[in-house]
Amino acid sequence: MKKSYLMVWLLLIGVQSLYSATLEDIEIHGYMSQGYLKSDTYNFLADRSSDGTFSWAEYGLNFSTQPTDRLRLGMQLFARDLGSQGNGEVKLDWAFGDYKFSDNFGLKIGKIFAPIGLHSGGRDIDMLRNSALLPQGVYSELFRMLSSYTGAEIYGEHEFSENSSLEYRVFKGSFDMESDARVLKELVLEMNGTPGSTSGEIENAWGGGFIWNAPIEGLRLGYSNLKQGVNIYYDLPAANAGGPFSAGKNHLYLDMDNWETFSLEYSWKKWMYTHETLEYRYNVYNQNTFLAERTETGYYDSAIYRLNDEYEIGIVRSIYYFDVNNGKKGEVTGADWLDYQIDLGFTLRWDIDDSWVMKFEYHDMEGVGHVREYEHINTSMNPAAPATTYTKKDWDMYVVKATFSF
Amino acid sequence: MKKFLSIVLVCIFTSSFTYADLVVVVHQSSPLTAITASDLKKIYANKLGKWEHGGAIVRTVLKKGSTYKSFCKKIKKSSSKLKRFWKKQVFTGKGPALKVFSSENKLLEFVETKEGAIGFVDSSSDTSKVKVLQFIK
Repeated sequence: MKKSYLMVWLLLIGVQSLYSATLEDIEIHGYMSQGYLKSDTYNFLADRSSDGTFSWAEYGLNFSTQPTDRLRLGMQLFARDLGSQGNGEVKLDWAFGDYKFSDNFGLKIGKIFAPIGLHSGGRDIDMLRNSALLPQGVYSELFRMLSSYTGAEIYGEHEFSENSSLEYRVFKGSFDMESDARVLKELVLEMNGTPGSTSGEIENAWGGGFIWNAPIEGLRLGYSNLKQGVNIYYDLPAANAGGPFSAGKNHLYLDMDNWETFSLEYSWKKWMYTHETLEYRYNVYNQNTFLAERTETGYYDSAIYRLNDEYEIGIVRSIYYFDVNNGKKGEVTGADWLDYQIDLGFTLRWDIDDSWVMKFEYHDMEGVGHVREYEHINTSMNPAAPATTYTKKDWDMYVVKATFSF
Repeated sequence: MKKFLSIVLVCIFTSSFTYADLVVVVHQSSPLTAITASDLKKIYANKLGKWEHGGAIVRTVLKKGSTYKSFCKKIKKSSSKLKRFWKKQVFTGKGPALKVFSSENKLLEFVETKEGAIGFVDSSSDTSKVKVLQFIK
């Protein structure tokens, strides 16, 4: 673990002991997670994870207050590390004003978690779920920039009966794209053969979602959709130029008109079953020239059993397909394992007390669809890109993570 | 795999508790005399944040014990789900944290001094300085 992260851990523990989490009018809370990743083959998610790496951590510190009965203000500072991403740089995770016109209807303005699926909001907050590694079929690290947007949102809940209601959210805004975002790095690597300078932005995004709390106790059904345009700017060496790819500055545009997520969650006694499906369609343009159309999809099923207050076990099967037109749902064969990834994960969550959580996981992987995913796009779009060198279809991943929160 | 199964079996057979009788308490200034099961459930599901007579609802809970378990049963949420739900409210900016107390006396002291506070204690506790609400199923 790097020294700077150890300092953050000590600082957060210090804050907790100083403030006991609550001042008179301002609440202060925080969390910190430290993970360990070990893959037996590929560097997945973090550099050198094939050797085993501790380069996986998240830290959050939030402040909130409620100046009136209807108005709530808050912000959360966030830093993370995942391989070469994040590097502990402190950023704003969310910061918004939330005005409730009534208990059932409100307006938020600021930087807000997006309503995509059940886990997109708070994907970095490890203690909120069973598994440390989110199912990549739906919550890919490649698109983590979609977790929060800057803009405005109206939200509410309509009650049909005492046991049934519809929660809804509609928003408009823009998403930040970090310069070290995995999707940018991989794209540039493929476009010009070497990592180079790049930047991106997602503006004029809008979307929404709803969750129907069904009259059957424990059953929730959700749907969300997001429409966005992704602008990516990068430099291309003259040697790799040709056709729609210009030497020098290039503008790549992903027109994503459909980012759909379906969710189903059913809780019964100590069991919880979840199914979520994500499908997104986009057209790719470089310098306004149409390059390709893709529809990618992924889904997962998970079953969780709470043994007692301390232990919870789970099994999750997550599947991702790079191109639904090129085989999906078991139709893929032979070398097509480059274009899909199936993750069968076994999880154990241990709630040591109200503040500490430990997780232990084993993931049986098949395919490499999410291991440097954008190499495949580039292979078809830019023949000058380097060839891929995947050698093994089946591989394993081990995960351990500890989280402290107050 | 054998070790993993052993841990699972040990965990299954080490959990047991008995349920306690509990009463719902609020600050003395509250005009309420009773609370429905539905409203109590909504309050602890962050669906009611404001009292009808005005003022923010300040939710309290006991950290653990049979009274806490009994309360979780009353609002139809397991202990672990209730805790995780409120962590989510806090870290996604949706609501304030629950005020958690390690003893019933400390919880009662807080409810006694904090307007808008609501909590639950065992029916045998000294509730003379707070208001006990009639619970309507």
